[in-house]
Amino acid sequence: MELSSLSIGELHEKLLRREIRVKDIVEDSLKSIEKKEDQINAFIEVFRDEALERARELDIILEEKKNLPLLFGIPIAIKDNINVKGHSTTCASRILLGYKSLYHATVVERLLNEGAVIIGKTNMDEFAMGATGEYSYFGPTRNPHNPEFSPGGSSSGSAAAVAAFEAVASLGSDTGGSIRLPAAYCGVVGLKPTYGRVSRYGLVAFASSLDQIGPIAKSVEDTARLFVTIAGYDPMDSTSMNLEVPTIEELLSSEDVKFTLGIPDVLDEANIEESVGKKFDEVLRFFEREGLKLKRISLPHIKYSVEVYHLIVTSEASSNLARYDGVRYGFREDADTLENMYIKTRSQGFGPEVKRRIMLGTFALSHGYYDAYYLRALKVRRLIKNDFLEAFKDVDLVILPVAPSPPPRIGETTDPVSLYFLDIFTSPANLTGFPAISLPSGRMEFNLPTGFQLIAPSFREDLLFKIASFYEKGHGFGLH
Amino acid sequence: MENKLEPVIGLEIHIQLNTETKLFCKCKNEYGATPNTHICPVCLGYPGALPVLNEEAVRLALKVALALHADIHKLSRFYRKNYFYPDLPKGYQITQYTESLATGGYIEIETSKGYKRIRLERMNIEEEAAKSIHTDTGEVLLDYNRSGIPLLEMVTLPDMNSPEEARTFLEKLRLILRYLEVSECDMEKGELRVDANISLRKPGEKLGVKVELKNLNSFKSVYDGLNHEIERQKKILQGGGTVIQETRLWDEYKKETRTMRVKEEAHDYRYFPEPDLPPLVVRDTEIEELKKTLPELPDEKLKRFVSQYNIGKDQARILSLNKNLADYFERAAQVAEDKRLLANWINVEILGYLNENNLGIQEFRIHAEELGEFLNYVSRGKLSYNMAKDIFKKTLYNEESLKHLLEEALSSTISSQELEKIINKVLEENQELVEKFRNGKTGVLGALIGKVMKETRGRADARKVKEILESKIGSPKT
Repeated sequence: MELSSLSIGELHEKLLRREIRVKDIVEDSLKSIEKKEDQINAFIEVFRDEALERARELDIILEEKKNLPLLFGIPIAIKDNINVKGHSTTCASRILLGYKSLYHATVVERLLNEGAVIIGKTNMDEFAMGATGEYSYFGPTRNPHNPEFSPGGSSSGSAAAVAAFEAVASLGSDTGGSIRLPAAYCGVVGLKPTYGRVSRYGLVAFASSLDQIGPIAKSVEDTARLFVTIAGYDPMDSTSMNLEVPTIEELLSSEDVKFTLGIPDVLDEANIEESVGKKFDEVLRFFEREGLKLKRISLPHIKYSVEVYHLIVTSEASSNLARYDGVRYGFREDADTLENMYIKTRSQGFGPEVKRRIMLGTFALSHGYYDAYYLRALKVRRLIKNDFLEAFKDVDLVILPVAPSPPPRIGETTDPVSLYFLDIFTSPANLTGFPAISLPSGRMEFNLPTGFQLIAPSFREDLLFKIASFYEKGHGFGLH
Repeated sequence: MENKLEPVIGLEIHIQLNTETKLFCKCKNEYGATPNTHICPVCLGYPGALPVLNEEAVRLALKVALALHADIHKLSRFYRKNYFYPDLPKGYQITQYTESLATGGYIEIETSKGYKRIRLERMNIEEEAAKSIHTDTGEVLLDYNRSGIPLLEMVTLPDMNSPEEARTFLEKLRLILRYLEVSECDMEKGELRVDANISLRKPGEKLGVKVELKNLNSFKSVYDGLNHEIERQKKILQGGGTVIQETRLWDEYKKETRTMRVKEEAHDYRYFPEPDLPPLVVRDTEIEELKKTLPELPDEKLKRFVSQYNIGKDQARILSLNKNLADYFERAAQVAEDKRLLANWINVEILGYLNENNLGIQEFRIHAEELGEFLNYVSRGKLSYNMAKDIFKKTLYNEESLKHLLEEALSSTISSQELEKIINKVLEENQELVEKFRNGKTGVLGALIGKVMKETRGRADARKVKEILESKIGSPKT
C-alpha cells in the first residue's frame, strides 16, 4: 500500500507508534512520483533532495514527540504560482523561466511551521488561466483516473498529485474555480476559503480581487488541517482579515447539521449534462433523507457570472502581468529598442490564452470603455453578492454542481469560450468572496469522478467543514 | 492695450516625503545610498509581492493638507496607473486618482499687487518610480532605491499670472513644507519636482490652449522656462497663429523650450482601483491628533514676531523665512533685552556671514543664548555697536572665542569717570565751539564728539558721548 494514500491522521498514528518514519513517507511519495509522472505530469519541479533532507531533520525531532504538529512529516505539493524560496516559480509560463523566488509565500512559511515537507511544485494552466490544465508551457497534466482526460484546471497538478498519491495534500489557488474544478474532476476535496481568509502574499497575482489560496486533500479532515494552518491574518497582505480562525475540533464536529440548503433556480436554465445532473440529484436526495431541508432560492443575477467574471479577471490580469517585461527577471528576448524588447519578450514569453486575456483586459480598461465594461461588471458583481446575501437569510448554505459537464478529453476543446463556461457554477463564490468547498460525489462514465460544491457566507468555513464531514461519514465520496 | 496677453499658469508638484521607509514596503527611504541596496520583492515588483501602506507617509501628507487648508477626504482610494517603462517595476504606478486624499486648499502669496491666494485642486499620495541613469556609452542603469519612495502630488488651479508669482508660490510652498518637516524640498536631489501648465489669453476671455512644461529643475528654471514659453506663445498668437496643446521640455543650456510629445500621443493609463489595497480611511480623531502636532506656520510666526517682539515687519519676514533661524532668534530673544537690536544683528551680521560662507544657521558657531548676552553689553552701553561688530567679525573669521574677545574689549573700555574727565577737558579747551552750538550751529556737535573720541582712542561709545555732551552743554538758543 502506498503511504500517500493514507490520511494525515493515519500517518501520524503510524509515526507516533514508530511504525514508520518521515523518511518512509517522503520516499514513498517520491517513488510514487517517479512511477507516475511520465503519464500524469503533475509536477514542474520535484524537491527530491531537499525533501529527503527535511525528512531527516524531522525524524530527529520525532524521537522526542508525543504530539505532532498538524502537518508533521506530510509531503505537500505547491502550485507553481506560489513562491517557495530558492526555487523557481514558473506559473507554467515561459516568461518566468530563470526567475528564482527570493522569499517564501506566507502560506509556505505556515506549512513549514507545522512540520510539512514541501515535495515539489505542481503543473497548472499558465498563470492560472484555464480550466483543463492544458495551457501549460510544460505540457498538459492528465487525470489520474483516466489519462485520456483532463484533470481540470487551473490547479491541475495539485489535484492530480493528490489523486495519484504523489503527495498527501497540496495547495492550489482559486480565482474562478481553479481549486474546486480539478478537485471534482480528480475525486478529491478542494476548498476555496473566504476572500481575505488566507494571505495572498507570495501568490503570483492573476486577478487580485478574486484570488485565494486553498487546500486540496483526500479527506475533509486533511483539508481542515491545511486550512487552519494557512488561514489567518497576515500584515503583508492588506486584504487579509484579522479574524480568529476556528480550531480543527470546531471545524469537524458534525453533530449539529440541521442545515437548510439553498438550491438556486439557475439550475433550471443551466445546460447541465445528464451524467452530472444525475449525480447531483443523488447528493440532494441523500441530504433530504438525512433530514436536511432543501429550499429553492432565487439568484437572479448569477446568470451573468461568467461575463462579469471574465471582464474583471482579464482587466486585473492585464495589469498584474505587466511586470513581466524582461527587464528585471525571467525570460527576455533582446531587441534593438526598448519597445521591441518588450514586444518580443511578451509575444514569445506568454502563451495564447494569457495573451488573449491580456488583450481583452487592456481593452476593457481603455479610456472610453472603462465605464461600459469594468465599472459595469463591478456593479453586477455587487448585485450577485446581494442575491446571495438575500438567500442566506433563508438558507445556511447554497449547493451547486462544480461544473456543468464531466472532464473533457485532452486536446478535445479548441474553443476558448466554451471552456469559460466551465466556471459558471464556481465563479460566483469568487465574485462574492464567499467560501466554497468541492466534494466528490462518485464516478461517471470512463471511471471519471464528479463533484458538487457548497457555498457559505463569508468566514463561515466552519459550516462547510461541518456538512462536509457529515457527508463524508454518511455518504462517502463514492470512489471505491 | 487690447492686445495685451495675460499668462495663466498652473503647477503640478511632486514632493518626496521624508519617511523612514518606503510607501509600500519596509525598505529605507534614503537618498544617495549605494544603488540597489534598499530593495525588496515589493519595490522590485517581484511576482507575488503585495503593497502595505506606510501610515507615516499618510500622516505627513495629511499634515500638508491641514497646513494648506485643504478638505481631507475621510475615504480616498488608490488606483493603478498602467504604463510600461523600465523604471516602473510593476508595470503600473500605485497612485490616487478620482478619489483624492484631499481637495481644495490654498497658499497665500505676496505679489506686487498685494496678497493673492493660489488655490489647490487636489493632493494625492503615490509611489516614486526607480531612477534611470543614462551613461555616456548609451546604457541605461536603473537604481531601484528610489522605487516606492512616497510622493505627495499637488496640483494647483491656474491662479498664477506671471513667472514671478509661480516662483513666489513655490518658495512659499517650500517654506511651509520645511516648517512641517515633511520634506527638505531639495530640487537637486529631486525631493521637489515641478511641471507647469501655461497658456495666454486676453484678460477676461476664456482660457487659451495650454502647454505643459517639463524639466524644470530649479526655481530659476521654472522662472526662466515660463518666461521663454510666454514669449514663444506671444509670438505665435500675435502673428495670428494658434498654440498647439503639447508637452514641451525646457532646455536650460540652450534657453529654449522644445516639443516632447503632442496631445495625440498621450498615454491611456487605464486607471482602475488598486485591488491589493483597501480604501484609505482617515478618522476624525486622527485629524484632531495631527492638528495638535502642527507647528506654527511662517505667516503666523511673522505676525507674532511683530507683535510679541515689536520688531519691524521686514525683519520679522526674513527671520520667519527659515524655521531654524526663527528658532534661533527666539532662543536669543529669551536673553537679549533689545529685540530690535537682536533682529537687526541676526539679519545683518549673521545672515551676511552665513550667506557669504554658504552655511545654515544650524552650522553657526555662536549659540543663541551667547549672542543674547553679548548684545546686552551693547544695549546697556558697555560696548559700542562698532566695537561689538569688530569683535563679532574677529570671532567668526579668526575662530577666536567670543567670550575671550569680549573680556579683552571690556577691560580696555573706558570707564565712566575717565570719559567724564575727557569730556570736561574737551569742553574746556573748545569754549568757542560750545558757544557756536549754543548759538544754534548744532553741526559743531559732530566736531566735539570727534575730539572726545580721539582723546579716548575710540574706546568710548559715540552714542553715549553724544548723550553726555548734549546734557552738559544744554540746548541751543532759539
